[in-house]
Amino acid sequence: MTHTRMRQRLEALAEALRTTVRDAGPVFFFFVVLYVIFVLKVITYKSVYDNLFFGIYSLLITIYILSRFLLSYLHKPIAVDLGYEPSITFVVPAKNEEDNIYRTIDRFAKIEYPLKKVEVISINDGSTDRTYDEMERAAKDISPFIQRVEVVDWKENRGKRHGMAEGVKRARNDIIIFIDSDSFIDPSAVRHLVKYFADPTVGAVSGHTDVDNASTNLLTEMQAIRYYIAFTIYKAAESAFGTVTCCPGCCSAYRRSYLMEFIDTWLNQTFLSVPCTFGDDRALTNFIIQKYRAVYSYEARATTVVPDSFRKYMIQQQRWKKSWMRETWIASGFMWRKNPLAALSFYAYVFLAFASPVVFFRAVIWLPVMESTWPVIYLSGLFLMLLLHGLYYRMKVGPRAWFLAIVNFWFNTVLLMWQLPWALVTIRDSRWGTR
Amino acid sequence: MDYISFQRNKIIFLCAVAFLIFISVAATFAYKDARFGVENLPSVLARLGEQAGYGLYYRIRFSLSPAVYATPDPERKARAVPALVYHAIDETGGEYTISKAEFADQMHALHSAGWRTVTLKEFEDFLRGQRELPERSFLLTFDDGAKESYYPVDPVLSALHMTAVTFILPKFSVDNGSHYYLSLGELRNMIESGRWEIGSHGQDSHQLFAADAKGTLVPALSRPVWLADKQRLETDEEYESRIEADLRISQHNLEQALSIPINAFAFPFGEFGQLNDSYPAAVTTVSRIAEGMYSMSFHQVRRGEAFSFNYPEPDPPRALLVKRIEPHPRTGPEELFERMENGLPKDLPFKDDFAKEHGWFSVWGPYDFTEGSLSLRASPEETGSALVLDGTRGWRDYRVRLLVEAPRRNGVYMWVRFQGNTQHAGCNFGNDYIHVEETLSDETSVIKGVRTENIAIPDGEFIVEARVNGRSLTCTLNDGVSVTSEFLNPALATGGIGIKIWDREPGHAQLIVKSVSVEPL
Repeated sequence: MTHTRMRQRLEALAEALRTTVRDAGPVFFFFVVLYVIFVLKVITYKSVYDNLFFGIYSLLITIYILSRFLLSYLHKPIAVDLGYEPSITFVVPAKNEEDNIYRTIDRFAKIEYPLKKVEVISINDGSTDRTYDEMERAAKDISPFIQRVEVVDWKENRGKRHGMAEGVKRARNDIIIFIDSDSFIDPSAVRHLVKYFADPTVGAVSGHTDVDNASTNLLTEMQAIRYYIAFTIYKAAESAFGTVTCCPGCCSAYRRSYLMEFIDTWLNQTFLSVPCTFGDDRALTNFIIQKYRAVYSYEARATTVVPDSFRKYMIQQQRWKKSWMRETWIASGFMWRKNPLAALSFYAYVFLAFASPVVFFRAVIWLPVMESTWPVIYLSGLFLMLLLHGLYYRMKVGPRAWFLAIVNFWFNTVLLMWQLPWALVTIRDSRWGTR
Repeated sequence: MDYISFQRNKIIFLCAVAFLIFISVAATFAYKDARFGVENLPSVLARLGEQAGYGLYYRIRFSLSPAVYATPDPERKARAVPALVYHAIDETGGEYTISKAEFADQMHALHSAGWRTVTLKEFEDFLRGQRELPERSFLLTFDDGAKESYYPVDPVLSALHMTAVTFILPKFSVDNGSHYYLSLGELRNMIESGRWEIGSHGQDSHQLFAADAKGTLVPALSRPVWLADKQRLETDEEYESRIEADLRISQHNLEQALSIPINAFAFPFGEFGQLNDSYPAAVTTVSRIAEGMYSMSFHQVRRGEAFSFNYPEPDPPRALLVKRIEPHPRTGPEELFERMENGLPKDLPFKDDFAKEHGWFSVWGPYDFTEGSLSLRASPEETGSALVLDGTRGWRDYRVRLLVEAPRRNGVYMWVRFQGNTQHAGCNFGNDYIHVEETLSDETSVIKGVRTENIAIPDGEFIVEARVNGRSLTCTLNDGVSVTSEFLNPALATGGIGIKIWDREPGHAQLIVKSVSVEPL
């Protein structure tokens, strides 16, 4: 009897030890990679004198990335205040989403929030399938529980931006939460989005979105890392200064009264005299942060479906790059008025984004051809940085196919780097603006 | 800044991380500097990686191809031991470098034939007659202390369980070394590995100095040099004190830096005046100074200069002068192996019908080795030529018979008790005379001779014979006339054989040797 108990206890101890080692490993290696990066920097710091432009790039990118890790670590958790419960409106524009839309809307009746303060407005943007029927069915099912539900049915497609603006205009409540038709929010997410609005300077809050279909293939697993990193590190870092540059459409909350100030300007936005038909979320956030603050809530959880084929992924990335280009140009005009550190980070990032293809070209093509030097330091530096991100993901999320995903990520980084110059060339072409 | 938190525990954690990383990075570079000197970290890592890779590669390769050229007999004791000298092992194809592959092949060939390295101490004890060593023992040495004389070599040593001596230039290697020379940390590590011993290669003497106002360059130790500021040559005293200081400072610097005694010295350029007659006193001066500080001094034996192995000395001086064989670039493993085997002391009776190379080396002029015969010929400007057989230095009492042909009927010398170019006995057969001769300290004298008209170098094949036994030497021409002396100088108690030809007219002398046979007496 005692024997069995002792064995159980031993097994439990062994299991605990195993878990500790398993979990401590990534943490240890995270700091080892950090150490290797610093050693590499000490070795190559002299190159600053050899070539100012490339030397500064090399130093700046390291400082930039490591400062993101630092700021995200200092991200401040905010407690939920049960005494602050503003009314909320979910806005769901959708086109041809008959498979997902019922599930998306149905979730609103299951959130952890006083349901009598919840309003739902869903806009059918000229779907050619049964999306409208699904919306109506969902509306009927949830209407007994919540404050109000409204389904708008447009026969012809007007675009997501029009759908979002329509939702804002029809909404009656204080806080608007945009949910993409292929995104699903966690029941607890709403409180964690809303809590930030107790501060009147906050105009927008980005939730944390994970990839719903991470386990489909290597590409989606890679995007899972990318999403996780983009939110928990880069948005968290921006959040420190209240200048999150993009509160994405998949799960973000806005204060309605602030949105109303510029909703029509946003709706009719043109860039280089072409109507803006994509990057609507980024554009909206840009309007907010000119006057107010945008923050990131790590606890407000949602998931979204990401492209599972390389072609779809490339198209999505190209669209994002174009809107990034446009909105970055706009933001460049006012960011300097923000917190100096936030401004510095912002302009540094713009410089790095444009310089990276040049640096890549020089290290991987120009120098090997002209001077027969192999880009060992450059490519291993690039890989180490991604490895650092991958280990961070691994230590936060647990064992997954993270390493292969990192290799894939590395491959895609090298490939996607060239989208920025391409986006610059095709900035006025809005054909890829459709989803 | 409202959404950033500076909680104490977060700040403490960050400080700890920053501190740890700073310490680790600083320690990494401090360790790198201490251990590898000024070379940068990527090169150091590349070297270490290469070293580890080659270590594994050699272990596998050597175990797969045990190329045995000869079977060693562990019972046989060494009568003489050679030393090898290399400089850098790299792929530059320079005059003093051989490639990694060549070096590994050479060592593997020697090792698989039973050749084993010895330490400095074992080597010295052997030469002083205080220790026995197995046959096919050798000392492996490297000059200059270049990184390329360690990193490519060490994996080979480790795979074959060999040891080596490296002669260091403390001027470059004490402190942090350079990109070319080993650093102090590397030397310490070499000593710790147990595979390496350290000797001195001089402080400032490993360079050429001007010997006159025109700037003719000479090796530093070989003679007094030109003092540009004083517009004159060094005096003998200045020359002596310069050499004395150089040898002492280099020894002192290495002993201080490494805390080990430094007893071996390798002459920079292998030169102590012996290759240059412009200042004859150099040899004795340099040897005397080296003797005062080191127990062994090393130089290179040019092929033909002397027997290639080092023999124990019956009455050893305080400091031994050690000869080293320098394998030149593109020396194949078989070639080096053959040279080493031919240098081994030969047993009597000995017979050579020139079916294979037995280690004949030229001390004067050219020779042709063709299957079945050996021919000597005076070059156009010279009056003769001479060959000595390696591995015969230890012979004592024997009878040599040569079957030869002298188409031009020039004089033939049969050397016996050959110890060196300036120390040997011999039979001089000429047209109308036979001389028993001895050469001591380069002074040749005829100790017995006959002169009669019926003595002549015959046409066609004939036999010359020398019979040396104790102090007696008998010279016989074609089993006819013979001359004997019983008063050979006792200094010539042992020594090997050689053949020399001579004629008054330059470019005339010629001899074809068909066979050589030596019987013990």
